[in-house]
Amino acid sequence: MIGTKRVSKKMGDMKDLYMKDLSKYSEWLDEDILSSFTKNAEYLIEKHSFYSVTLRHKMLNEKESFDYEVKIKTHGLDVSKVPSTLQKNRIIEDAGIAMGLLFTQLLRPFKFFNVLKIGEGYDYSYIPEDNNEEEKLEMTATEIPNEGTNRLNSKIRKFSDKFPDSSGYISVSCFPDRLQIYWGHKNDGSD
Amino acid sequence: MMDLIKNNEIKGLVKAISSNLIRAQMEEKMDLNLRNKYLESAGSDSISIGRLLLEFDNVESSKYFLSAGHSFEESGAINRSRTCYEKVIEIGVGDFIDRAREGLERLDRVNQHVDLDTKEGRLAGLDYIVWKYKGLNTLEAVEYLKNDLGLELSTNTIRNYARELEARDRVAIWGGPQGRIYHIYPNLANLATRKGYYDVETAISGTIEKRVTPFFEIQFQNWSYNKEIFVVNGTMSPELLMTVDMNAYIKNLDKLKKGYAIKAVGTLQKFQSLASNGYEITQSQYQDVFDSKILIDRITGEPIYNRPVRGVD
Repeated sequence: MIGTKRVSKKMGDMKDLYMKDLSKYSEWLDEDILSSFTKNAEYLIEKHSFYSVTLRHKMLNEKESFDYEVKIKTHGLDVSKVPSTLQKNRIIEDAGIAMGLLFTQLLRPFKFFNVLKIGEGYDYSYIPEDNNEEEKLEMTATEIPNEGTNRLNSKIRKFSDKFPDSSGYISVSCFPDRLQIYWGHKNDGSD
Repeated sequence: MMDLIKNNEIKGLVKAISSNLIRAQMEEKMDLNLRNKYLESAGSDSISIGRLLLEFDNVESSKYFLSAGHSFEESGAINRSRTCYEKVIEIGVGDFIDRAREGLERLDRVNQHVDLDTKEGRLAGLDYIVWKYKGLNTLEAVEYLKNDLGLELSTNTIRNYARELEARDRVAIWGGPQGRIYHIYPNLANLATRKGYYDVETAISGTIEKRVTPFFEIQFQNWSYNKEIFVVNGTMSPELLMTVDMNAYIKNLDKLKKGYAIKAVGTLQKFQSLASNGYEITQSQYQDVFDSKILIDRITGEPIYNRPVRGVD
């Protein structure tokens, strides 16, 4: 199982991520949203030749992290009109959410997904297939070098402060030179 | 929650709420008006799901009412937000009560934070005034907006804003044009809780579903008014009964039938008020009753009945 130190080492190799897998969210989100996310994400992937990325998995109670090579498989959509139809920030933010949803699907297959507004911002959560505990999801994306790390650290702090009782979370940060996924569970330390 | 997700109605609402919140997020810093409409739509669906879950899972129900409260608060629908926080406190699940109380405290200070430089802020200002005074006409709105918020708006602008707020289910309007006074009421149609809004005047619209007067037994010792009772299928949720003065019924026998599109002005009453006025029934699914005093043909916009003022007619 991904998500423990022992297994991560064993499986720390290649993974394929298919953009078409976003359609698995059609049970929980309207198609127009998924279609828009897919286009924006594919536009950024093409722009940055983002086809091969490193997924860095860092556990809550460990200083070490483990890297996976992930191959991103796109639809090959025509994305040439994306920059003229949307503002830059919107493209990046939507692409960040798309990648977050895709990596959640990859790391933690789920049986329930929803978005609520419990406080400031928007709260994404899911219930994984292997238990009934709700887990949180945070996503961010930026094209500013090093800004992704800052945002990621801020989101990790947010989780510690805001959701101390959360059974787990995935935080996804996408930026041009790296794509970083922060994923943790309370039981990380015991495995 | 997991078992309840097998319920298609709940699952559909979960999908609609998530989708509209993501749309709202996509409009952050882009189109404030659109963002707020998505937030309000998500808020309304969150109220619906909160109600559906209420009997089975108070934790999940509280979570959705709290989310509705935040959605409305952020869109400037201050009073719809307030009823959501009040509902969370009424349900009484520990973890959520403090957050709801914090929400109410923020709303108490909200008139200090409304950004009157934006249209959405001015709409929130009008919404605030309408609910604070529990209904007013355009001239009163001009005066109260100036006195309470220091905001000067023309009657024309107020009418335009009121129409927009009505389209977003935040107020209900009656009157105008053709020289009639234009009234703006709080919209009580889909509140998280109606507690605190009984006897408040408002307008509702819908279609007459059926006449149910024969199902009631008249207790003559309490009989204080002569009414006909209808089920109106329309904006009010949960659905409620509407009482119509006997004079109104007699004058409109040809209209007050199943399928008639009606708008009514009146006051929201507790269902028990029917019994205290002599109309008793053994069992009922209805919690509230709407006592109409003005009936309007929804297609033509023309009044078909206006209750005479006591002592004059």
